[in-house]
Amino acid sequence: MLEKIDNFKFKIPKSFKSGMKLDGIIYADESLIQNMQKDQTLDQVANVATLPGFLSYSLAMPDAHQGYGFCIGGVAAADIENGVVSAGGVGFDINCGVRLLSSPFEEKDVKPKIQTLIDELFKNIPTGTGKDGKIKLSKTELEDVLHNGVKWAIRNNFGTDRDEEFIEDNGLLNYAKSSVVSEKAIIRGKDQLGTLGSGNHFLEIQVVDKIYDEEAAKAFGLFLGQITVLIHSGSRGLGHQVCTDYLEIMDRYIKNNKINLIDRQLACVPINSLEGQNYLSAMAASANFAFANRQCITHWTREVFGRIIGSKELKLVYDLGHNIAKFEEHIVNTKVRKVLVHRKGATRAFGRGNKNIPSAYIEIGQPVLIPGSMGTHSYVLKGTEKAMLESFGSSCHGAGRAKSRTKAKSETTPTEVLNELKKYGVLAKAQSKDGLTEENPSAYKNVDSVVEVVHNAGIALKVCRLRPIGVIKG
Amino acid sequence: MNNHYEILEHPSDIGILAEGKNLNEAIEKASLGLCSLIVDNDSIDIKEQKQVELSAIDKESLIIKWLNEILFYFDSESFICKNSKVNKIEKFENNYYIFGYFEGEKFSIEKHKFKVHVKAVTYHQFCLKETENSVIIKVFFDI
Repeated sequence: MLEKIDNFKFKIPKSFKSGMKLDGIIYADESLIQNMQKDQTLDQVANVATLPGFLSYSLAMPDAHQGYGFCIGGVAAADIENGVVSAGGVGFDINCGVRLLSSPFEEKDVKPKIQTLIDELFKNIPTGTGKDGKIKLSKTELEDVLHNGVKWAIRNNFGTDRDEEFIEDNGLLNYAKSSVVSEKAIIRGKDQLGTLGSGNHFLEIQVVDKIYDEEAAKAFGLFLGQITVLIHSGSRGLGHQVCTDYLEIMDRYIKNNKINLIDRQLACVPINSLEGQNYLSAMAASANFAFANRQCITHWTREVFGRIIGSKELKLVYDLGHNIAKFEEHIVNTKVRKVLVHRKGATRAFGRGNKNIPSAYIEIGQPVLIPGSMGTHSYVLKGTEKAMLESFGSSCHGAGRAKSRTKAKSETTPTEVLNELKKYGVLAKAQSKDGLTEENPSAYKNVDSVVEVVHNAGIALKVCRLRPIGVIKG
Repeated sequence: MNNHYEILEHPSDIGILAEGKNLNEAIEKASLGLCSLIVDNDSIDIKEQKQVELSAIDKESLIIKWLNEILFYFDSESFICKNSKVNKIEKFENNYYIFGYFEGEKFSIEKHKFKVHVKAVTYHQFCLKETENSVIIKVFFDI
C-alpha cells in the first residue's frame, strides 16, 4: 500500500511487490498521485526496485506517467561495482533535452514580427520526418560528432566557445565510442544532425513573465519581459537505433544468463560487463550527437533572429539532457559513492557549490529547465542541496502526459488547437496536423502543479516563469 | 477488428492489436498497423521493394525486429512501407529467422499525409498469442 510521507512525497514500501529490494519514493501531491494510480506508473517504479544493485530508492518525479520498463519521470542510481545499466532506463531518445537561450530583446521588439520569425524558423530548422537535415555527413564526419559532441559543432562554426561552458558536461561525454554504435544507427543518424524531430519536440519563443528569485534570475541572465528561446530535441534516429540495438543485446544477455526480469523492457546488464561498457559508450556517443544537434539548431535560430529581429545575440543560459544515465558522486548511507544515475524523463538538479555546474552559477545552483506543453508556461528553476541529499540531484522534466494520443486527437481538430493557442497569444506552426492535436495543451498535466511539487519538496526552486508566444514543431 | 488491426490506447503512446490466420499474416497486419500510424496508407504507391532477412532469439524479438526494420527504412532512406509480406519464419539451432519484403515508395511531404513519427517498437506489454486458427500480436510503440 502507498504511504503518504508528507504533502509532496509518497512511499511505495518494499512489501508492495515481491522482489522489491528498495522502497519507491514518488514526489506528488494528492491530485497527481491519484492520476498516477490510474495507469501503471507506480507498478513501474516498483519494478525498477526489483533490479539488482540499485541504491537507496526507486524514484519518480511529479510529472511521472506510464512509460516502458521505467516510468517516464523515473530516477534510479546503480552501484557501479555491483549494479546494472538498463537501456530502457534511459529510453529511446537518448539525451533528449532542452536548452534555453536568452535574448537582449523585450516582447515589444519581437511581437510585431512574430509571424515572420516563426515562418523563417520553420523554414530554416528542419522539423518532422527523418531524412531531411541540412547537414549531410560522411561516416567519418559523423564519427567525429559522436566523439566530440558540441566541440565538433563549435569547430564547424555552429557556436561559440562560451556556449560549451553552459551545457551539461560541456556538451561532451568523453567515454563515447563510435565503434560500438551499429552501422544501422550511423545510417539513421548521418542526415539527421540539426533536425528538431517530431512528437513532443519543439522550438518555442517565450517571454519571461514572472520572476520568483531575483538573485538567481540575474545570475542566469534573465529579466522580466525578456524574450527567450527554448529548444527541445534529442538524438533523433541515431539514439533510437542505439537503444533498440542494445535492448536486443541486453535481452540476449538476460536469456543466456537465465536471469528473471519482471518486465522484458527492463533488460539490463552489469555495468562492468562488456555489454554494459559498450552500451554506455554507445549511449555517450548518442548523447554527444544530441548536444551537437541542439547546437546546430541554436545556430540557425541565431541566424534567423539576426535577419528578422536585427541581432543574433542569443546567449545560452543552459542545456541539459533528461533521458540519460550519468556517472556521478552521491551520498549513500552517509558515504560518498560513485553511482550511475538513470534519469528517464528527469532533469539533473545539482545545487550550489557543485563542481559540475558552470562557474557563473556556482553560488546559485544549476538551471533546471522545465518545458510546459504547447501553449502553457515553461519554468526555470535552480538545483538544490536538498536534491543532492534525497533525489540523486534530480528533478522533474516537464508537464507529463495526462491523456493518450488517440484520446487527445479525438477530442479536438488541428484548427481548434491553432485557434485555442492564438487565444492564449501563441502562434504555432507544425508539419504534422496529427502532431498538433496529439500534443494539444489539454493532453498534458498542469505544469504549474508539477513545478509546485518540486518547489515545495525542495528538490528544485522556482526562478522564473516563461510564457510562449510562438512555437514550431514537427 | 478493422483491417485486422486495432489501435490501442496507451497513456503516452500508441499500440496495435493485430490478428491473422497464422503468424506470417499477423506480422503483416501488425506492420500495416504501424505503417498506417506514420502515413495515410491509401496515399502510398508501390514502387519499390526491400528484401528483409532478420534473426532473433525468439519469436517475440523477431517480430519486434521486423517492425523496427520498417522504422529503420523510413529514417534512413525515407522509404515508407505500404504492405509487407512474410515469406518464411524458421527456427535453426537457437535462433529464429524471418524472410520477406516491404513494398512502398520514397516518402514525400507533398504527396503523403504524414501523421506521426514513431521512434521505436517496445517490449512493453508485448503479447503473442498463437492458437490453431489465429495468431494475435499486441505491441506498443514509442512516439
